[in-house]
Amino acid sequence: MGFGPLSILAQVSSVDPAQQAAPALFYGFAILTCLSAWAIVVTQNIVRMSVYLLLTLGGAAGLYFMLGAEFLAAIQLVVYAGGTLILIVFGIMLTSKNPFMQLRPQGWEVALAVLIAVSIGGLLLLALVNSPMPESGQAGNALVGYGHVSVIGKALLGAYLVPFEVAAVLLLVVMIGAAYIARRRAEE
Amino acid sequence: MAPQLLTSLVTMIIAVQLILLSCAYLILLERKMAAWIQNRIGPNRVGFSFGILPFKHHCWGLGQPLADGIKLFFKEDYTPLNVDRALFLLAPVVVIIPALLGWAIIPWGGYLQWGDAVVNVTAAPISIGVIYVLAIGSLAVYGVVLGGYASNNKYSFLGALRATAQMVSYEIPMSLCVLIVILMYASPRADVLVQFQANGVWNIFYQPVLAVIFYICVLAECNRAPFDLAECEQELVGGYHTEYSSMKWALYFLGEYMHMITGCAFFTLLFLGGWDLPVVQEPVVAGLGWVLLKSGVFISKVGFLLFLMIWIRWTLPRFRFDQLMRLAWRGLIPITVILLLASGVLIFLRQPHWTFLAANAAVVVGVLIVAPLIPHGPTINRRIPLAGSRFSPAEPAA
Repeated sequence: MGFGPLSILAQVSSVDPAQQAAPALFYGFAILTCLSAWAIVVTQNIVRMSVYLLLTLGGAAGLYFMLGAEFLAAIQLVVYAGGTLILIVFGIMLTSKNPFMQLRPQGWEVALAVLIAVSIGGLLLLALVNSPMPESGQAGNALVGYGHVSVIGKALLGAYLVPFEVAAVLLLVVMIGAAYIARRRAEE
Repeated sequence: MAPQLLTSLVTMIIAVQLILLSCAYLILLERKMAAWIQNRIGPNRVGFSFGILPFKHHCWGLGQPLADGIKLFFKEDYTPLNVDRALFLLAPVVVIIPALLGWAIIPWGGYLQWGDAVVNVTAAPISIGVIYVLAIGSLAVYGVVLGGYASNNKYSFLGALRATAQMVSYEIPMSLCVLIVILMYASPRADVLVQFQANGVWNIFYQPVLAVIFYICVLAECNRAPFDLAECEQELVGGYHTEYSSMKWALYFLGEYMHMITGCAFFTLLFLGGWDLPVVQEPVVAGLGWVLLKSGVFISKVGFLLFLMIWIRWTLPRFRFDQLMRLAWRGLIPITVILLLASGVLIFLRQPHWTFLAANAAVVVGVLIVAPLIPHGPTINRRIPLAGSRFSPAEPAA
């Protein structure tokens, strides 16, 4: 069953955000991401923390959009913002005893968190300094198409088939386990 | 300025204005249709004079949305004392934003010939297309969750939990439906999906079962009857928006109507062939006249689906919560997974598209045969011996 000549579709290229990227948008998303990440650390109300986390994830998704990795951005929103975070909020809301729960970390917890944050930050900075930077104005052309759905699909079902399947089996195991735990509790 | 950017901007502005205006009149249509279905007359008095202007005609009640809006703005905007104030203010806004963002990829009018260039009459022709709508749609839950939590009220809280469980559950079959359509046409781009349907047959004739499931999921996602448990006046006062008043309350309902329009537009582009007219063979790339005609066709299809939604709301009674969850987890999700597998096998074997219709019919027959054989779990209908409930005395008999 043919759908007729669709060669016209090839002319209508999708917008490439990497080429139309306005610096203002980039800085907007970057500032949103950083500020809300900072706010997560300093807030004590746990539900507000999750709202700031939502803003951080959304800002990161916006940055992915700007880089032309649209699929990654959408999946970031679906999986982290739409799925994981909503489960976290559910868990908090169902388990907290008092209405507006406060979180007060101990001194050693703060010290441990600072240690971990500084070491991860140092590692990232090291990686950034050591990686080769493209000439300005050349980056967009080198990266066009790398975030396209078909490229990602071919990579996942081609070169990276084994890790992909391992992750799928792991998720299946988790799902069956969750269903089993929920069932046992219902019968007791 | 690049033609595509200019087209995007114009489309964006027109679409937002048009949809916000139609939200207002959708509410009037809803009230009118409710009246017709219930053998009443409905709102027919408010014209555009508002008792001040000399113009006296009643205008068949067309001034009603304007009057409603004015009323909502001037009502007391009451914020209870013990709410989490920032989140309480934020929640209605969070409802509106995903509903607005979802319109970005709707292909209103096909392709426009602009000098040498071919532009796409849509706000954002991004390569992931319909996946973007799913991503944005998954954020719609936050308005409900935050509103229910910030209200600091047990009724709001329970209403929010219910609504969240409902929206999260119905997102799964909805995403699977979209996945099957992407598999069929091998592209997630909205304009490509519509163009394939315009060149062939509308998708609803290949996958009728899928279309029905998707429509049910759209109803559930925007909390419309028979899935409007989120409001649940009988049990939870007003659900998650119990504490909201004035324009904040109105934003929740504006969000609902905007979600309805987004959902219907999404249905149109996935199953009803988008801008395609049934008999006429329209040119793929056309001038402005054709684009306007195509947009009109798209909008008419969306309008028909909205009409159907309102009709359903005033015809069917509301589901109970356990029935609603059972429908999603034991009905829709297994059926869509089976359809996904069947479609995947058919696509792998490179079968023609009409075999999908056969697969749909086979699934219906299979469900009719298999469903009575599956043992039912314990239903919630049995009496629960809970002290204080209507089945048990408040104090256990000593």
